[in-house]
Amino acid sequence: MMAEEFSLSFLMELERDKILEVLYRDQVVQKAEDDRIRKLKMQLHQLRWKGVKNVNESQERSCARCQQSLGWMLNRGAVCEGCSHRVCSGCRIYLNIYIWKCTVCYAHREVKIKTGDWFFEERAKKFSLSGKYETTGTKLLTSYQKMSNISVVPPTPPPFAEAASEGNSMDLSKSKGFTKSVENLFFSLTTHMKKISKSQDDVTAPRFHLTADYGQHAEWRKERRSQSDTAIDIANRITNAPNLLNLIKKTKGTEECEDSSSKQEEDFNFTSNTIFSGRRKYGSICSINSTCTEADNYDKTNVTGEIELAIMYNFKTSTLEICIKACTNLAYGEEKKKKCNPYVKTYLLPDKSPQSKLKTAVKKNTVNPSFLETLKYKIHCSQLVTRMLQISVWHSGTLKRKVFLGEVLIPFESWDFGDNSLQSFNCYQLKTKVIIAPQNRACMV
Amino acid sequence: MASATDSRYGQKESADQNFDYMFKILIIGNSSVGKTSFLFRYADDSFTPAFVSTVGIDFKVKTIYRNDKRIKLQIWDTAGQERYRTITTAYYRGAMGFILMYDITNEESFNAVQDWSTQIKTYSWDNAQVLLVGNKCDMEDERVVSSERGRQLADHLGFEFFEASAKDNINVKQTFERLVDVICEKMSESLDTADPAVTGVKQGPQLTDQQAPPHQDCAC
Repeated sequence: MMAEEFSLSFLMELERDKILEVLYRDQVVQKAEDDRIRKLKMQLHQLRWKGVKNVNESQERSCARCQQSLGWMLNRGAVCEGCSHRVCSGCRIYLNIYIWKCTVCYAHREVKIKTGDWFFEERAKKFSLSGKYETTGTKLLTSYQKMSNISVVPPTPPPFAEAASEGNSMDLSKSKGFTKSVENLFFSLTTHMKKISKSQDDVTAPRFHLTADYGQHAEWRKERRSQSDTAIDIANRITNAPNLLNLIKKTKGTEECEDSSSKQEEDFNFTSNTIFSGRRKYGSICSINSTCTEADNYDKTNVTGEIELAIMYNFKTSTLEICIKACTNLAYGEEKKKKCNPYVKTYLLPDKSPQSKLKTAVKKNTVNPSFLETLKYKIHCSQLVTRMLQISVWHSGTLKRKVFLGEVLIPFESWDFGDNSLQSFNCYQLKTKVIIAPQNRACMV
Repeated sequence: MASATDSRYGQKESADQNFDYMFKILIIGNSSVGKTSFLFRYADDSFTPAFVSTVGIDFKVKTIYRNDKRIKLQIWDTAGQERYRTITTAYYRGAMGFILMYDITNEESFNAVQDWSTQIKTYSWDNAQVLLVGNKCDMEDERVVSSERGRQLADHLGFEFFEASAKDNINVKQTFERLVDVICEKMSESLDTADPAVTGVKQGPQLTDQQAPPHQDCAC
């Protein structure tokens, strides 16, 4: 069988450098390929969603793809052999005169071709592979990294002229600690990826269910919750004033609580939303599930003003740095009292776990706060393209109440970190909260 | 016929995403049979008579237009020397197709073809597509391996066969294009015999479960 461990240890230093240069070039190619594959899969995913929505909505006979209703005699539709869904004649693509596939199955086939999945599947028959897109180059780099940790002499920087002279995002050769930094990069790539994906699974997936089913499956929900420690942590961490009040009220009796709920909301200026009211109705579980208390305050204030910030990526330390300079002309957090204690908070979406959250200090009594703070995320640059930076401004009120003052979303999909103009300070208009539709969210997760 | 796009190697091409799919191809064979020259001729249309031994591995990227598709080729050039064998064989499993090369003026390199073929069988996937290429066919005066022997061996091993010259640019492009074609054939074959139940069925209900009314983001 094939040796799983690759090693560059037998090579002389010059040879090693030469090969490393090739490996780094390969990484560039591979990154572009990974990007492309991810986009293709995303498109397929979206196409699937269209059909699924339809199945959910109605029981009547309709085409699983275009949702057009099907008749019993005419335009009856036919079952696609690929997916067993009934589709109308318009949603079939003929591979030859006899064989057809529905649009989704056809797209699935196309994606298999374009991503090279056909090959990976074939190959898996012979080699059971853990990461199917993992390349030999990646493995070699990892083994090299391990090796150079052991050796006392630090490796010399490889001649990286090719990539660097192109002025592309890998403009690393100028830095002295190049090799080291790239090693770190690849090391953090693997460890980080594991960590991040894990936290995402733990947090987003259960929450999705917690808030979605309105407590109708409390049994199942409990089970689910116990599986995920992180979810509990988050729920327990939140001790906002409204919750405490809810809890106190509840000891007096749920009946009373429900009766007075509308009045209470007015008193405290709460904005009720589906989640909130849903939680109240099913009082027994509401206190633990309240992961979304701040959501209540979203549309309370109008959003004005701008935020000035700079975003740069430090390849040496593989850190995303967001320098928050200032905000101008913010809305008042408490309009009547003309009070505003703003601070800035960021998430690296889709990760909404606490690890992804960063905050600046709170500035007192100003609508033109100057922060001059740099928030840092340690993340590999190849991971960034799937992320979106959410920068929101909040008012920190009394009783730890937070009021939303606006936000900016910056997707990194087409962000060029080699472009210096993007790295300087820019003003961004603050926007109201964008609620991401569930299907988009599913794609992002 | 197919027309190759501008393919001057560079960073831009490496990171380019404007293509339909990517094939990885590996060139193998004894040292000094002309693997690197063959690749340089194809990718850069250049030739240098000087012999520079390849260190470990190298690759070039070329995007071609074939059968109405843009295909990006990542062509790996391997060192023929034994001492790099652990590295080069590691790349076998990522390759969809191989160019197995010998030198028509070098008997030893021809005798080694069988061994190289075994290497492919061992380290690569089962349907690896291989083309046998006898390089340096411009050097007719020094030929020691006849075309006939080459063809016979190729038939025996089940590979297609070309004689080529990187120096005089004979059959270089044809070799790569043929290899791309046979990979494409293998691809459709594997897709059409694939289990049709892989689509939709399993994903459907799962996705329905996840479908939920929009909810506010947690903003704690």
